[in-house]
Amino acid sequence: MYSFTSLTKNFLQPSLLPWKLCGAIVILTVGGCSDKPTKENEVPVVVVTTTHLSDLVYSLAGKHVEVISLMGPGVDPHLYKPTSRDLSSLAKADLIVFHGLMLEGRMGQALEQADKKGIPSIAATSEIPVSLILSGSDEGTNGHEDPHVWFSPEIWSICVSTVMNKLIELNPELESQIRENAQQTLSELQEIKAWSLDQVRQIPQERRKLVTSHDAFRYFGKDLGLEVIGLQGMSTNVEAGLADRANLVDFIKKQNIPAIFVETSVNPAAMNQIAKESGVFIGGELFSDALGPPDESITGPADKSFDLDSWAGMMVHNVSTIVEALGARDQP
Amino acid sequence: MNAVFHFQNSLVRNALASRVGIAWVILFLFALPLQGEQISSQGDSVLERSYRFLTLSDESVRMVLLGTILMGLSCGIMGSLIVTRRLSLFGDTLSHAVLPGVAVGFLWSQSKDSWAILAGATVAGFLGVALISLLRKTSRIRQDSALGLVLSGFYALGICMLTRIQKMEFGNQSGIDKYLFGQVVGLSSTDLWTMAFSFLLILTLSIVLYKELLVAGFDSEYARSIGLPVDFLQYLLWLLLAFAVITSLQVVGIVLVSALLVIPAATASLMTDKMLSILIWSALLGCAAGATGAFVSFLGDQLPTGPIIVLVSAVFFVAALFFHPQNGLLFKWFSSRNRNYRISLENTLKAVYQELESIDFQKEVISVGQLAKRRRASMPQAHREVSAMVAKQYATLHSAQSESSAPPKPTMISLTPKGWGTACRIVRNHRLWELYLTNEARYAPDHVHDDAEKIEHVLGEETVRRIERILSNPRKDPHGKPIPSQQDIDRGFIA
Amino acid sequence: MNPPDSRPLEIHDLTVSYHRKPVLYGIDLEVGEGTLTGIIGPNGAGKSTLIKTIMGMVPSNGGWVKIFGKPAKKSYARVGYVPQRESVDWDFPVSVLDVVLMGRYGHVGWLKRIGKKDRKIACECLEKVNMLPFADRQIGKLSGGQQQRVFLARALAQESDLYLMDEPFAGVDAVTEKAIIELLRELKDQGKTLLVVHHDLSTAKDYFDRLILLNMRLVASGEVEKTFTRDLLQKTYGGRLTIFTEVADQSAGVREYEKETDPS
Repeated sequence: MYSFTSLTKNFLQPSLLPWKLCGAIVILTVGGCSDKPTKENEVPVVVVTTTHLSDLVYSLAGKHVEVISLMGPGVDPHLYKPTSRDLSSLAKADLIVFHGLMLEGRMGQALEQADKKGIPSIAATSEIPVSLILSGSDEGTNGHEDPHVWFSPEIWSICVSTVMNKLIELNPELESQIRENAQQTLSELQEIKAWSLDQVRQIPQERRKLVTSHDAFRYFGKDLGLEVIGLQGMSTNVEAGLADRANLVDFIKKQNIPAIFVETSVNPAAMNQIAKESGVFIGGELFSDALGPPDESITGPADKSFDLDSWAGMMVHNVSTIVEALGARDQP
Repeated sequence: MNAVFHFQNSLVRNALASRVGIAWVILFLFALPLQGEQISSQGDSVLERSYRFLTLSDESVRMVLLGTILMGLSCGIMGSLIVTRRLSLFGDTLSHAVLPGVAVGFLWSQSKDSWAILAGATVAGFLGVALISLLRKTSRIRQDSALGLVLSGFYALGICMLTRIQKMEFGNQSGIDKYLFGQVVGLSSTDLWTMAFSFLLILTLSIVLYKELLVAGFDSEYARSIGLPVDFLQYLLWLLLAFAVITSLQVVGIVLVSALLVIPAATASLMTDKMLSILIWSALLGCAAGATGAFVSFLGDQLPTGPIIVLVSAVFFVAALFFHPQNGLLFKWFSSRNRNYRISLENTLKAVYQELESIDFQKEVISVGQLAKRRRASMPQAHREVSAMVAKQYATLHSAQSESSAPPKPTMISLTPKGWGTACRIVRNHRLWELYLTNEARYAPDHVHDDAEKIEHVLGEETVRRIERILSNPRKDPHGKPIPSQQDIDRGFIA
Repeated sequence: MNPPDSRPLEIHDLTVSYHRKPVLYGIDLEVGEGTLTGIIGPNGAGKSTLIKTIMGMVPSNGGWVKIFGKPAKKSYARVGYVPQRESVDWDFPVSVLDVVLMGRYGHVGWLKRIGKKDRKIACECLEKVNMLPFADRQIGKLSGGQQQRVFLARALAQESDLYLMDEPFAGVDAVTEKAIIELLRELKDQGKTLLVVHHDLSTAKDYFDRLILLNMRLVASGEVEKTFTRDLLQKTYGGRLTIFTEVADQSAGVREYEKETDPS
């Protein structure tokens, strides 16, 4: 009858060899796959989308989890399309932290898929009370929510709590650590906020106007008392048209705005052009939808040094840049 | 029209239609009001906006208008050169093939400098063209397959590179994805200089080398025989095409630039069949589409200029298709309808004549009933035909004398001199043609009637004179019926 | 005037191959001034290739070609080429007059405009072929015979000394054919040299003074009486001559010559 050796001998006959090879490869690959990757490593893997979240998770659970960030500095989350490597990272995660409020506009399907696989996930903005969220435009059309909530320390604190609770839920043994870190983070938020308000007061009242590439700074402006205007709308998906360009130049000239700003995650060509036409200079580069690069730092309140790839560093950089450009210089 | 046959090639038609479709999609996608606290909510009216645009008071407007006009002119001229050579798909391929070059240009220079990107685009474009020639020369692959291969292959490569670049720190700052659909708001004076240079180069070379391009496009073998470097001219054409494409990317983007190459030239081919006219019209139409597109995109907020320019040029195309005085569909339909109307009228007149002839012209009038019988039509139909004749003053209606006390009904027809003249002419044409066919072309007499039925309406006076001369002024047709002479016509109806 | 030893066309040991297959082999040929010579042979004999090689459009693998003592690439001005109508794009938006004017490009030179004189000459050439009334019509809107006449007018406008024509009578109606051959004879009388690839054996003897019989190799070349013989024709056409035998015999010349030389 058929024995293992005779079957193997038959299989190894040279006839139909290419097909057999293919068959062998397919079987081995499929057999080698499994639904859940066996985890030998002890460290939980947290996959986050934006740099703000990677900074957040790192500051909460730093050495105890492995943080994988899909987007790096300078990446625009409105336009970001996940690669297949990103999808496999999501599949292997123990926890997915994403922003929500449609910030990661093109990742919806990927996040849905991960959800269906039963991977725990949390939207950092899920517990923000509706009253705090700024909506579309003042006319109330469309009611799209403004996702750039990290610019408001108050709202961002809520996000910190949300993520903190979820992290604790999944890693109860780290609870005390995480709470302690959270405490530190929240107090830092307050410190930065106070400092920012102080800085902004240095700008003469009539010059407190912030013109940027896209409309990302509404929470920022609301908190700190700046009027904010973006060339593009809340999402960089929507292009600015010719009329928008002309209108902005008009606006800048009429309001005597001394400087306008570009962002690291958006192409500055349009703003450069507008600056030339309206006769103002580019006050600097702001971090809007992405934090700064990891190897740089800036000096902030109490002469402390903040890394640019942290939330605090981002705020310090932005505020300093804005204040310097709008406040310190004389009228053009 | 000649180039219209080219567009009957379904590949080109599909490419064009998909471009116009994409333009609509982009328009709707981008114009969806995802309004934020955005500069655009100014609330001025369309009239105010129009005034502002037309007075050219904003520098942005001046710059963008200049850019769109230069682009329209360049693409119009280049478009006419490639469309008449049936190379429309080449334009599409070239515009897609530049994408990896754009990506490489960025990666190489690691900066937001547009020169590196443009250089990369040019190199990629040429690689694409070289690959196409290579494929055709060394394998069995035909031109359209080679084009499809390079177009999709290079484009896919470009997209892969873009996906990698989006992860890089300075990736989004390069604005490479804007090259896909164009970004008019970023148009700088450097861009305008490159567009102007490109346009001047294209204009100069097409003027200076006009006749060389003409002979190379029409009969390349003959061109070679008179010593023309045909291959060199071809490469020059690709170079110019690459310039036109690359300098237009900023305004319309990769996806739509081929539409701008093809549509104005296609419109021009609808209107004329002379190369010089096609070239000039194509340039003008491109320019007009560019300017109008810029204007329309200014009227609203967040309207993307590039797709609107494409749509405007498509509107021009449709307008020419329907409304062109000689070649437009609407006019063809009208003239066809008029022709049918005239033929019907002439047939009616002929019937009246024949009816009168059957009674040897003893009477001046016939009845509507007689007409109906001869035309083998119903009475209402006959009455309609009579009304048509009366309307054109070919006949008059009389009332029959009747003894009854009822009011007389108009049922008798007599021909006016004008009607008589036309009737004679038609009958003469018919019988003359029959005679010509039987005598000169040796048709059998019973085969000539149907032919004559058609020809009688289209014989011109000069041809009639010639036939009369050839047949030595005949008096009778093959069936023995008298052929009306010019005298009969002039004399008017005489019993 | 050309120096005495530069005939219009001289070919020595010409060999041409296409993808390693020989198409022409060891061709030795001379064509004198003021002659009307026909090239005949079966399909695939290399007749068109010969013309193209003379023009320098097809590379040769051996031997040389001299036109008025110079290589082809230096003699563009003196050679008028009437190709087969294959490479033409009939939908191209050129008018009949535009096409004939192309014959003047060689005289006008690159980078210069066409002048009144050129237009006049073009119109005269159109008149010679009876196509002047069609001057403004787009070239694709003519019949085959009319198109061929336009191409002939173009060749005339070139005012060349040597004309190479590739099957000018193909696909042409009887009236046009008559007109063309009359024109060719006129050109010959003016001292021009004409070399014509011809496809129709039945008229070859009547149209030409000299014949070149070609079937990859040169079978014969010389006056028509001496070359248009059954023997040589059979050699050229191989077994395929049976159809043509009757036709050839119908031409009185063959019979007579045979009678003269045939001993039996």
